[in-house]
Amino acid sequence: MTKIFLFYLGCVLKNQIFSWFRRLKQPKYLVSGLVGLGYFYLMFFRQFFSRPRRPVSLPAALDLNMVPILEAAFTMILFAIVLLPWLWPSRGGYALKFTEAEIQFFFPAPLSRRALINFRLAKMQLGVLFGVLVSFLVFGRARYLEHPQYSFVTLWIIYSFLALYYVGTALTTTSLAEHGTSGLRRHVWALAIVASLVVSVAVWAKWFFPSPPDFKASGVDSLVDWLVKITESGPALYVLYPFKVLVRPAFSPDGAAFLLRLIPALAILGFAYFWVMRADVSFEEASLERARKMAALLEVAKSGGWKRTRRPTAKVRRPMFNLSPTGFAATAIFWKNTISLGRLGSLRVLPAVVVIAVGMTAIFASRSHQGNWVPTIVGSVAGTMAAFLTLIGPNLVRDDLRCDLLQIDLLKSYPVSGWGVVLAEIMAPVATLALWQWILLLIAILTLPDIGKTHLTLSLRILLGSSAAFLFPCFSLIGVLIQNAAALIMPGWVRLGKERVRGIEAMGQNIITMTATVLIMALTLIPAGLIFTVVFLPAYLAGYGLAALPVASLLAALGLLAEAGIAIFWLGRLYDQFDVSLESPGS
Amino acid sequence: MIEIEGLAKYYGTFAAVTDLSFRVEAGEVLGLVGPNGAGKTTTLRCMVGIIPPAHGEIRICGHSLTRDPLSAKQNIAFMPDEPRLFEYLTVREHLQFTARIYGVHDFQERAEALLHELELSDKVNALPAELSRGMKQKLVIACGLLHSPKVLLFDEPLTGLDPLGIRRMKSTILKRSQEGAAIVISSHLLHLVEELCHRVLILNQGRKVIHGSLEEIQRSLPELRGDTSLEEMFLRITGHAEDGTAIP
Repeated sequence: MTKIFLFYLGCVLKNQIFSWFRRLKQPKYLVSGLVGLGYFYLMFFRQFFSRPRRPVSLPAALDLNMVPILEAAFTMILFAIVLLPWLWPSRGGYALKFTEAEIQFFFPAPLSRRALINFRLAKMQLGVLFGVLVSFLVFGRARYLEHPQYSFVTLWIIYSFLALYYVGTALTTTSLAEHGTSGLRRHVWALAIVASLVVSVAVWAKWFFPSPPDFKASGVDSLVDWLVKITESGPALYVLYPFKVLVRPAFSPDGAAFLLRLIPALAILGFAYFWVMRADVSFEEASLERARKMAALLEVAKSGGWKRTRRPTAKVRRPMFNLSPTGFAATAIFWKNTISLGRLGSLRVLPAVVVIAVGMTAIFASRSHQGNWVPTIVGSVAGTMAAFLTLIGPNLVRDDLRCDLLQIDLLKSYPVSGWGVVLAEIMAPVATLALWQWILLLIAILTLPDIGKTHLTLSLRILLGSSAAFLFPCFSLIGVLIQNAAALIMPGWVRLGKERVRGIEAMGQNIITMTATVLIMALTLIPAGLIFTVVFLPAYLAGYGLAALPVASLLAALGLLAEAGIAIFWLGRLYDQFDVSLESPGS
Repeated sequence: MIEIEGLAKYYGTFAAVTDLSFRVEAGEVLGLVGPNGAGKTTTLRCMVGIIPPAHGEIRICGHSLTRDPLSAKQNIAFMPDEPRLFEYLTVREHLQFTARIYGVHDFQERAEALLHELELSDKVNALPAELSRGMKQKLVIACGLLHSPKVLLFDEPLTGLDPLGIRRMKSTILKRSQEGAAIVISSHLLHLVEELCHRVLILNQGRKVIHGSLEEIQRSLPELRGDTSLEEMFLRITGHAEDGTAIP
């Protein structure tokens, strides 16, 4: 059986690589591929071909041993990631995903469930290795590390652990949802572990959390000591221990220590594997949205009718506005996308993020012993969220060409001009993000009394807030346009559709996309930055102070809008010339 | 209504359609038939502007699809073999959306009539996920007919329909033909083509093999010796014997 799976995996890998190279026949993919390779060479690979350099360890610049603080930081990050699927359950989102062909061929075949899970985990390793490679190149710059090979192996262990952990969590949560009490009994041990982790952290945070030292007075050393103390005291020592075990091999001083630290890390990985295999009793129920869809389709095909057992994919809510039958035709696309946003909810995550952010801020603020910290928390969280949405929003809200290119046959048959389609497509995410940004900025302006020791007057908050209100939506607009341009120019390299590809497998691709987006965005912002500087700097020096900020921001925003307008017309032409037949995998 | 001159489309080096020319007049129903991979769907997708042709001219109601695509598309409705719908729009919202795209003034009356005709009246608030394949197909047809197009392109229109649905679909096509629409039906169901189409165009390997009414095609094939079934003509023309084996 293993041979069959290996043959299949080999074919998948080989054909994916061939398909990737076939795309390079098109000049746009070839040029982009060369630019990307050039960037990666300059940023990451050049060091391997240039003169050997003396390894520089990170702490050199700070003249202090950063290993404990890095260990502590990565341990905490890993702990937070592990808690995430429980705080933020995603039904089937992290589960084992089989393609429709795999379901059709493997599910009816005489294969044990254990074999199927093993097969899928093996396939998952392709994504894990890619994610490890990209993360290693982007974050684990080899020249900064004394032993880069330790980091690579550690990253592989951590990513593999997380991949297994996500699957185990998905199987458990889905089984709980499907089976209610019986499922609860069956997986009570998993819930007990998570509950004890959460309670331990809460209790620890409340009663044992040591106050941060005044490191301005006592130096950075005291901050390091404080962080190390957190991870090595009270229940945190036990709660964080498994995660510390996973992280530690990367920071081994020599080969012997590395091997010694590898043993417990691999043991935890083995435990995660055992957990997933142990959960295979609920495999069919917990298998994946796709399997469920397939089963429903098969049911329909068998019965020749529709069984009302299937849940609708979206809740029917009223559209945000009524669409009249006449007028600018492209408005219909904007209307459709606002409905998609409301029903499939790309920003469903936002309230959860706000709650987590407020909670964490509250814990830290409670240590400041200041009386009126609630407005500070609310204001700072709102301001941070507005900035967060500006940066991440265009990637979160995808109700535009990134979804509709899957329906390109339909779109192209409409009598709507290319620029009209592009404009209407991008407007729904941009308008939604702008609305959220303005609401959050208004909250920040109204509630934020101070930040640290700097007193912010209401007038100053209005100046800063109104400037942000002009600029943030325009930044989002540019971000959304870049994402749509990428989808239109290189649909073969961009994730299309609404389904969020989660987990380690998607991480590598996301890192590459984000890096490219940030680079292009930085270039796009240069003209607006120049406008801002030309307006603001003379006015500031002439004594107008920060009063010139909103005017400069408004003019910079207009500059960004002009750039966006040009981009929309250009993308409209690309849309008109878009040949879907060139984008098929075989072409 | 429909004028195609020298249409060609290539996928890389593969010629999907080569030098294809034909006309479809108002009220005429043309059957586009051919073996798998003959270029039928490619032809339809070029005719509706989904994929650009490599060469050739397509005119819909006198408007060039290349030079004046919006006017040309305003007169077309394309019903693909696989119903393509937006998963988050209800049946009524699909019609509302289509009405705005095509600027249908009397949307309410037309929508009600179509929903009744296609038996979707009790599903107006349903999402596509709650519809069977046949109902989805009907919704696609309702959206296509909403703006009373002068040119209708059907790709395998009977797929997924029950016997009653098939009968209604045939009458819907005939009704639009009688009202003056130019219709192209691509299908492997030769009895459907025989029943509904005034003329037949047989494609093979991207090339037009024969084009005409059944009588004209029969006259051009004396070896059929009076066998007038389209199936027999099709097999002969595409190079197959009576039992379906390839003619050497």
